[in-house]
Amino acid sequence: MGFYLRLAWRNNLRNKRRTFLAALAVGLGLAALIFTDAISGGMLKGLIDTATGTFMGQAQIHRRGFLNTMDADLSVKDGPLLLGELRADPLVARAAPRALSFAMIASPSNSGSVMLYGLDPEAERGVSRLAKAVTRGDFLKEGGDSVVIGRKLAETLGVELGDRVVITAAAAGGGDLAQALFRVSGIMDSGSRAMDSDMAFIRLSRAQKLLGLGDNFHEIAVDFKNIKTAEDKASPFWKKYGGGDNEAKGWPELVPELAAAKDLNAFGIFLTAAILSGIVALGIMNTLFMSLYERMFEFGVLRAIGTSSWRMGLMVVSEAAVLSVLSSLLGMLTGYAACRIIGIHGLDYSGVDYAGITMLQPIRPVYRALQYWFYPSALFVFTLLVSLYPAVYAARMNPVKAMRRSL
Amino acid sequence: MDKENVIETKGVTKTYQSGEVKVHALHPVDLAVARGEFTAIAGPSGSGKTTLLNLISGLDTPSSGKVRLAGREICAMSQSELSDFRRDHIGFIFQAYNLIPVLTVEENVEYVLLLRGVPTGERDERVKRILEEVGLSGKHGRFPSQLSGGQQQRVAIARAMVSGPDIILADEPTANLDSATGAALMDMMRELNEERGMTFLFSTHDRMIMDKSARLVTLKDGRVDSDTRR
Repeated sequence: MGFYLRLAWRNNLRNKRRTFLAALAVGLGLAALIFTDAISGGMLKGLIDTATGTFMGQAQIHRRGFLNTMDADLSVKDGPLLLGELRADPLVARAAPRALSFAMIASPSNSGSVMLYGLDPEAERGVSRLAKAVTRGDFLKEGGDSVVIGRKLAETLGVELGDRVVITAAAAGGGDLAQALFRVSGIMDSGSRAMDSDMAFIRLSRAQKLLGLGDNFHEIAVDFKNIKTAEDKASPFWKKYGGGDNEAKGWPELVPELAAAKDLNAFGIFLTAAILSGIVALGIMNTLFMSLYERMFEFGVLRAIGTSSWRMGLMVVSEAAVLSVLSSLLGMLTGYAACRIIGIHGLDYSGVDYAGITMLQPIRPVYRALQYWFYPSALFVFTLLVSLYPAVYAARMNPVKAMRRSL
Repeated sequence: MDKENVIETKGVTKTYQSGEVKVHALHPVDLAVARGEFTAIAGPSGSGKTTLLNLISGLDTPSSGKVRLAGREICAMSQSELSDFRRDHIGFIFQAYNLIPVLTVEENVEYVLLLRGVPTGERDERVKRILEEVGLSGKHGRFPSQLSGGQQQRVAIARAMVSGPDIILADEPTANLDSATGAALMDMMRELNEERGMTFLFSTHDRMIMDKSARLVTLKDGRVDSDTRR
């Protein structure tokens, strides 16, 4: 085998320019695949990170039926106990309790409907980036009836820091309207339209009092130690916390549009790979056939002196293998370099909505081992398969016809 | 005496179809070459000598008749069997040398042994020995392009002989060489023929080869015109 690889290497070097151009063409195909995978992976990572990290969390636990009805009475079953268990669970990094209800918020000049959240500021800091999104004032400082709203809502209501607003919500235990006065203690600019214009945040204890929940709450937001757990339906987490009266959902269920976008992305990569494979196949075959026709006489001589059919084929496949390795090296280097260059500043699509999520950060390439072993390996195997056609042609070559002139 | 014949053709013909015209390149030819003979087939262009060599080597198949080589009928063999047969029984020397340009002298010669599955150590030994015999010691690492025409033909001779085939078929082996180099190579082949008892069959226009051959078969219009032993 070593002899044939040596022969293949030298044959590839016979026409350096052609070999380089063929390797470059195939390599650029691989580089494009690596780059596409890295960028789309980066975009997905950014979207998932934004969706889960900004406020939602990687998973949520609710009382069964709450998400459909938003009934204030449907608080998480055994919420405080469950929260303690979650915080002790080895799969879970952080957990934050929340109370929530539809509400009206009114200022002296305007009013609007909002989703009212009662939060534990300390627990929330670990799960969401709300505190960091507060650009003016404080994030639910202790004591007092403080409320944090988004910049757009503040503009709609015509309020500033320290101004008073009235929040009205349906309380648990009958749905009586409860009303309380709050003071705007923080204004945030998260970049998410929904959060900046349609949400209001108060302390959990204050929300429990307003809504008559006692020490109960409606939602537990969870971050895992490994985000993959959120997609792993086989994880014991779901059975443990999602059985009975409560339901546990990971981000793919909470934001199905994002899960669909991920599937679409995987299909996009597959499609890209399929198109590039076609181009690679034609490129490799063209190069091998050019090389074969150019050396037809030589192949005839080799056949004449007793080279068997399979050895003739082996020569062609070996040349394809060497070309594939050269192409892979070029492709990996080019793909990596492109990712590094784009990664310096990222692709800035901040503010653009995709799959219902507002992109908040520039898209940066995601490096995965798969890009540098699976794709090149697939290219190698694919090249060998493609080379079988010219290999069979060489193997079936009639020596006299190949040599054109006879002995 | 058939058993002693390493090459034997009986009633071998070859007809080519050229458009609607049939071209009879070879009329029935009967030829027997005994083991160890040093034979030249001569004749003008179009006389059929090349066609005959193609048929004898199994590179081409006759329209009719039979070819026996080293005691085996080759016309019924498959391409695969023919390839193996050529590998094991025939050495080729071409007019234009036809060495593999990306292989060194040593590798060109070694290749034939590789095809036969000869172990590495034995390959090295045999290659070294044959290169010494053809006067190419010290040139084993050179590529064909770094050698003169005469030296390249010596490599081709070494390649043809290294596996110890029954028959060496040589197509105009001196056609691309100057007369002195050609004569020297012919002398060398004659010596190897006498030392090793290999059968040589040349196709040639060259008067010098005809003179140095032990047997001269001349073809004319696809038929054996004369057959002379010296």
